[in-house]
Amino acid sequence: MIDYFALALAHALLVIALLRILARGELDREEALGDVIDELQAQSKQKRPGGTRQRKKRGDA
Amino acid sequence: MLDVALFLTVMAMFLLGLRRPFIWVLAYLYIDILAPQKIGWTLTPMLPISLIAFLLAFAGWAFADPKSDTKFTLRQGIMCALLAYCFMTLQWADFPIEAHEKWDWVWKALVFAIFLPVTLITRLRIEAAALVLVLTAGAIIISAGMKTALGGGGYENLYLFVNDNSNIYESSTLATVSIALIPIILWFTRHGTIFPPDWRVKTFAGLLIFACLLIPIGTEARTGLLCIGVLGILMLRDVRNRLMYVMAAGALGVAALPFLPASYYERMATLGSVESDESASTRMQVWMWTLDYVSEHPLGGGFDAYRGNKFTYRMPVTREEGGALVTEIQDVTDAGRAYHSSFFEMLGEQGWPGLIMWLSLHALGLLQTERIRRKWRDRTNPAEQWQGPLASALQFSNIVYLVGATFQGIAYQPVFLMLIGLQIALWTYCRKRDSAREAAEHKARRDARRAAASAKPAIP
Repeated sequence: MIDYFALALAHALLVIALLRILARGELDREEALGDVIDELQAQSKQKRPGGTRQRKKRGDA
Repeated sequence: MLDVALFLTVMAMFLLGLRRPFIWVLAYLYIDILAPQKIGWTLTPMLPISLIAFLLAFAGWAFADPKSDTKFTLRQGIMCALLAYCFMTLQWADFPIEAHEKWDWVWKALVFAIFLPVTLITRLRIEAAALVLVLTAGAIIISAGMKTALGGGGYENLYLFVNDNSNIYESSTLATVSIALIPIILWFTRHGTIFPPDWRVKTFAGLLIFACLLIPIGTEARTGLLCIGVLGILMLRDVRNRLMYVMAAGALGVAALPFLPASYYERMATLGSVESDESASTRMQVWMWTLDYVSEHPLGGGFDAYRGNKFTYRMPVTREEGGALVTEIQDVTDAGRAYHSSFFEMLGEQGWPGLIMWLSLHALGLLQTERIRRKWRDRTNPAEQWQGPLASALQFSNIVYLVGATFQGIAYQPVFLMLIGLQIALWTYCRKRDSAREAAEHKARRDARRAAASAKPAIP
């Protein structure tokens, strides 16, 4: 009885896990650095020197 | 009914693999750990499912996976060298028939451990492999844990799904595996994405860890108790509130004492008295014999070389005589006793070259996981939070394994070779991400410089 319970519980979880894994696109390929590029862009925005922005404004005008 | 269910699970995995071939790698992990072909009686033993899964896993990778990112690491090279060396010692093995029997499963376990990291190229794959490993071993652990909690168990009395001492169905091996899996289960309660951590995941993980802790009690494996102690100390490193942790662990230990069976105390008491315990004194004798053996055969005697040992020693033997227990010092002869230690197993079977390869495989694993842990612990990017803790968990598992391996011949134990595969995969993944990050940072700096240069007013 205990054996059946343990096997049933573990297998139910395994089946749910497999179905969830199957549904996810990043199983075979992952956008390796999408998040890092975002992070770098955010950092560069913070660090952008004031002078650059000024010149841009002047040019725009 | 059970047979049909297991058979259908395996077939479903094979079918799902047609859509995503990586599922075949998971199917092999599942089959190799649980051995459903040994639990079932008609359908599952009918087909060589382990071999089919093994071949499908390779075929799936060969035909469907991208190979451009495939990296071959030093540790995979060490395993390749070990595999080749084992094949060499097989040629001059002292006991060729037994050696071939062992070789039949060792080569498979080693080849799969070398292969596994090349398939684990994404975070989800690493997590999926770890999850299948935990849940499959979990089935055995839950069953054994529940039997122990309900009063079953005892040394060599705990009935598992399979009772032929194969793979992790050997009681001491199961005890070590159970304790080694605890850090990985804990990782899932914080960083899992297949089952995102919520109260259900945490409750299940808590109960599973409790079942893991019950295994050394149920199997009365003394090594398991040692593993719990070592893991308890190791975890001090990563817990936030150390004082609370020490107090909680102490309270749990004291609270557990009244529930332990008397036979457990008797067996554990022999931990300190080597002389009066045959198993422990045999161990010392075998180790001494191995050192002598390897001084004459420095290149090893091939698998199962221990079968050639024989020694007589004097030890106290207690027997019942007329209702009274009489203890006498007697000569006890032992022959063909197993190594009872992976270090001596490697030394006796593969000689010094084999032992050095095996030790460097594990030492490198400990170093690499430590490097990942240190390098990644201060990162703030949300996508870089799981690597350090996983490295730490795999490092603890490795240390627990080495503690267990000191007293058991589990040098080629497939589950631990799979954990080595996971370590290598994580190492490769982190290195790949680091070098891609460096390239992205370099590009970002260059772009910034160019943008600044182009924004400068032209010199008239």
